[in-house]
Amino acid sequence: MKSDFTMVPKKRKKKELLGLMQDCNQITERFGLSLSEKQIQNLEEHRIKALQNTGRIEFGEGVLKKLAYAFCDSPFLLPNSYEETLIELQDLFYYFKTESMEQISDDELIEAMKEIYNGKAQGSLSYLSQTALEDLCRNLRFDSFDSMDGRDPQE
Amino acid sequence: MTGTLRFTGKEFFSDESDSALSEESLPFQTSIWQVLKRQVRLYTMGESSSLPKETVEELFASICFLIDLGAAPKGKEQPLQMKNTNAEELFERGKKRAEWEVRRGKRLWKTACMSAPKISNRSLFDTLQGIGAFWKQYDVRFFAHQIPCYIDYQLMNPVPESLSGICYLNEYLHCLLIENRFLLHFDVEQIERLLQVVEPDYQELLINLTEPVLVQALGLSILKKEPYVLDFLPQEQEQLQLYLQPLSKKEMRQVLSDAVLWLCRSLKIEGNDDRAYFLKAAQNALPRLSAACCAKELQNLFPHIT
Repeated sequence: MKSDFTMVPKKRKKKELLGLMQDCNQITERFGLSLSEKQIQNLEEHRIKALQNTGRIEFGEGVLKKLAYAFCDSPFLLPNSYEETLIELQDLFYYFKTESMEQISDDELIEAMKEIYNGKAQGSLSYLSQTALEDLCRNLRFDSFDSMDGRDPQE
Repeated sequence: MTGTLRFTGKEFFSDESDSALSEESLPFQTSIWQVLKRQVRLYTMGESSSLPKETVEELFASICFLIDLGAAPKGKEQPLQMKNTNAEELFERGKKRAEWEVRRGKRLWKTACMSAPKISNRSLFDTLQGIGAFWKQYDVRFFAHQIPCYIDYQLMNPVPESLSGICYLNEYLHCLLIENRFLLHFDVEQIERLLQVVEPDYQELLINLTEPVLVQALGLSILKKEPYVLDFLPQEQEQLQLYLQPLSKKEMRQVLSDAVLWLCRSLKIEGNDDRAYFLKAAQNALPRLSAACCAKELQNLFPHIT
């Protein structure tokens, strides 16, 4: 059998998106953050674009829910910029997932993003993307190269 | 699930109506998709919901390879009826079959190492050593279609590129064993003398050791001479030239085929695979024989070695 095939990112159905929106809002509303139907559709479009840009294929339900849960209690997340921040975080997630050469799990990356965003970055997405996560991924890559060479990364 | 899968399966499905693109095959396509999803989950150990496209493509190629292997009849088994089978079942069968092929491959490799000619050749040595690493690197679960080792040594008849994974390697080893068995009929010193004439740097170059021996033995077989000597005296070269010169290409092809059969009889080579392999190799030598004959330079193809 020929393994001749193409992977085309497909948008989720409206019903699935509404379910996702409800799941997200259920937790985040207590922090004054919620997404509308239009916003969740916009986030879905950005997810497809991010997957295409990073050359990734997604099999699970996506990371939006996890991102929303992880960041909803952040003191730097404001209701009027909630959607834009989630879009940015989603883009960064897929970008750094690739940059880390699959050395980090979804949960670990989200945890690291949250820690930096709420800590050193003080809510700055530019700091998060251009400094801290770059460093994190560089370290992960060097660690993996070192272990490939049989060297101790701490040396 | 965020991807749609489109693939063609013309080699897998017996006719157009059975094609993977037809509506009838939709359940089969869906079951392949389910296998892929499961494989991704196992590969990432559930820690990642997405993967680079290249990795997914490799995982998918491995699934296709194993499904093919699962559907292929083994020995006297009847081919499976595709319509009544799902991808999951074929995939599991293929995995078991691949594991069985790995065990078979290890035995072939050990035999190939033990029967290798006692002739120094870097590429043969490196290849046999490299295949030793294959058994540690080969990943039946996720990348069964890959060949994680370097195979430098060239066989007389190349293994078809359509084969992959363990099937490629086993076919390679099977052919290598045919060549090894053939060389065992001849005296090593005599082979070395012949190789020295054909290619003085035979120890370092990526050349096949069997082909010059086979060609020389075939030349002697055409003249119904003893093949073991592997030497052509100048008068024998002239005799061969006189015999071959008036022949058309078609006749020459027949002469070569007859020579292979005569050679197999005199060396007591009885295996059908072996005979078919040498017939193919002999046919590959036809253009060179024809050209050497036209140029009256048969001594280049059938050299005098002592």
